[in-house]
Amino acid sequence: MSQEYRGVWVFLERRGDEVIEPSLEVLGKARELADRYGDNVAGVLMGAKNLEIQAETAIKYGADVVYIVEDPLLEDYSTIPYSEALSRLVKKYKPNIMLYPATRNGRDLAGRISAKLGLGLSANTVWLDIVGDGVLLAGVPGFGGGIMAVTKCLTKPQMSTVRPGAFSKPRLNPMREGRIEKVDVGKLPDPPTKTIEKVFFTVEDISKAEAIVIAGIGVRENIEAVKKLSEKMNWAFGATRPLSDEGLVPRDIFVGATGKVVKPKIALIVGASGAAHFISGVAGAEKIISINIDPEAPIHSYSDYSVVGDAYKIIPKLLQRLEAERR
Amino acid sequence: MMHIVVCMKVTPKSEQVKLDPNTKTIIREGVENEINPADKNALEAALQLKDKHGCKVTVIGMGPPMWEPYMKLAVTMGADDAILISDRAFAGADTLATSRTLAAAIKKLGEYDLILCGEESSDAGTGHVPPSIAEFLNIPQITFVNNIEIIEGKIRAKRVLEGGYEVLECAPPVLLSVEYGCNTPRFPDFRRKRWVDKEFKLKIWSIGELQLSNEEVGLKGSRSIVEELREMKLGERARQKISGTEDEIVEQILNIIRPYIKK
Ligand SMILES: Cc1cc2nc3c(=O)[nH]c(=O)nc-3n(C[C@H](O)[C@H](O)[C@H](O)COP(=O)(O)OP(=O)(O)OC[C@H]3O[C@@H](n4cnc5c(N)ncnc54)[C@H](O)[C@@H]3O)c2cc1C
Ligand SMILES: Nc1ncnc2c1ncn2[C@@H]1O[C@H](COP(=O)(O)O)[C@@H](O)[C@H]1O
Repeated sequence: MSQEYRGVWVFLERRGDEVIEPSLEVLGKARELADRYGDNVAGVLMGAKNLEIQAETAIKYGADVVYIVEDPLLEDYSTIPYSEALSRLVKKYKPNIMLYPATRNGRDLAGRISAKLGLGLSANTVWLDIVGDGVLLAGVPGFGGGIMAVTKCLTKPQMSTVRPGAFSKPRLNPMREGRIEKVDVGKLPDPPTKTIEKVFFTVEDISKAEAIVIAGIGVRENIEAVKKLSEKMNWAFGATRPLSDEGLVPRDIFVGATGKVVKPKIALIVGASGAAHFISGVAGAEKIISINIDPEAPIHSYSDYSVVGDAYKIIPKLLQRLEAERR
Repeated sequence: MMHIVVCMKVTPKSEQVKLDPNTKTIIREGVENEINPADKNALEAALQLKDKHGCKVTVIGMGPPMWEPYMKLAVTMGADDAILISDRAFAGADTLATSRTLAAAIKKLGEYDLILCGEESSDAGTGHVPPSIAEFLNIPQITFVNNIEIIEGKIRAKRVLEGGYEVLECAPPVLLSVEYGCNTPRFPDFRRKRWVDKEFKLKIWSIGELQLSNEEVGLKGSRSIVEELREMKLGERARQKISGTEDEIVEQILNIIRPYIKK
């Protein structure tokens, strides 16, 4: 086995002191892929300082090695210093596979590295497989998710960004052991951008919901009633992207190819047409029940049960009945 | 005057795209095309900056000759110039070869202050092209922005993140990728349409016009390849219709959802 290009690497994106869930999901998948052809898994963790605890966590989730790069310029994600540090690491250690969560920062970084090092990169993959001695096949969803292209990189490391929610977070094994290695990558360039403001909200994570009500543009005038319905039943509340683009609901509750992937036991979808970019976010629901006034709307064929009817009439009646049952 | 370059592609309407079950290729007949939705938002963002600050807006796209009417449509909406980069050599490009080609074309344009892309294309949906272009041009990038301001010659952009946002400021030149749906693209201008139809000439650049070899573009310049296309089952469902009077419908819905209601 050649010494060159070994290891399945994962970019461990942080939010403050925590490695974000999508990175852990990728780590779990990396473990499975590496085991299939007998390779190691390495995590890459960058930040200003004190990254050991997060590195330990990554090891318990499946990493054999965690490379830590510390520099004040790496405190928060910023394209130029991060891409410079990572590309130096990659050139030094030559991994076989380099995976990133397809978060906004992950995609921002991976696209930059691809051009910097002239490497092939598969996007937003929802399916990964190994053939032979570590050849990566990556499933890239296209056209909103209706078609999947199976792609292969011709260069190493074989790179891919991985769709959050496509793989499940592995189980934490408190007994797992691994190695932490601090790497000095030399002086990094200053970021050309200045941060004026940075705001994070605490939002409910709908991707874990067991049951969800999802509103589409068709109920634009009565989102409150739909929301109330979700509250009455103790279900999560989600929406289609246009409602969030219009500022009618928070950004982090829209479902679909560019939003959250939900896998509830049941989803009640009202006033959504069933566009491919939306459906790919709910396709994993066990049961879908939908209400749409238009008999021709594609949503009906993506439903287990569907109603051709006016949500403005049906939702209030549902609310009334639920209230009556409570008493 | 600031020069804004908008990278624009043309995509088939996602809902109409189907896979031929026998040949496993995409059926293109009868599928309507459109300006990639996020790129329309990028163009609108550029035009709003033009309205406010008097910028020059140039649209570029790398694609087949059939994109011509869409490039012209961008000019009808208000862009000052449009260039179609078109050559058989460019066919089959992955994001790396696409970005390299677009970056070379932008270099040929000369001076620029702002490059606007869409956040992602609706067909491939990678979002990788904008950061790759920025790297090839060796300029900063701010991806996934939904608001752009020019303040004292600097670019200030709001970058939307999972669960929050950040506002970043940067001296030009800088590349921004613009969020789908962040503004309402304007309609074409009728007076401009007459001018475009009569007088505007779309520039078409072939590989000879760029500082690139055949090995660097198209399929040859690509570092990832598509092995196969598969149809994704977006869900085989029971498709049972619930009907009746409104009260009956409500009863039936309740029967289905009741087991999942937590008190
Ligand atoms: C790159 C890209 C990424 C995208 N990503 C996403 C994504 O992640 N998530 C997402 O959701 N979308 C996404 N979209 C947008 C997507 O293509 C659709 O435009 C969107 O999902 C449509 O939302 P909708 O169903 O709410 O609205 P519409 O398509 O307008 O549908 C509204 C529906 O409501 C019905 N209706 C109207 N009145 C009533 C009534 N009284 N009672 C019942 N029904 C009624 C209508 O019949 C209609 O079918 C993306 C698009 C692009 C280009
Ligand atoms: N062939 C192309 N011509 C012009 N612009 C493109 C092309 N491909 C991608 N882009 C730009 O890059 C953005 C992201 O595309 P993608 O990385 O393919 O998802 C698009 O929204 C466009 O602005």
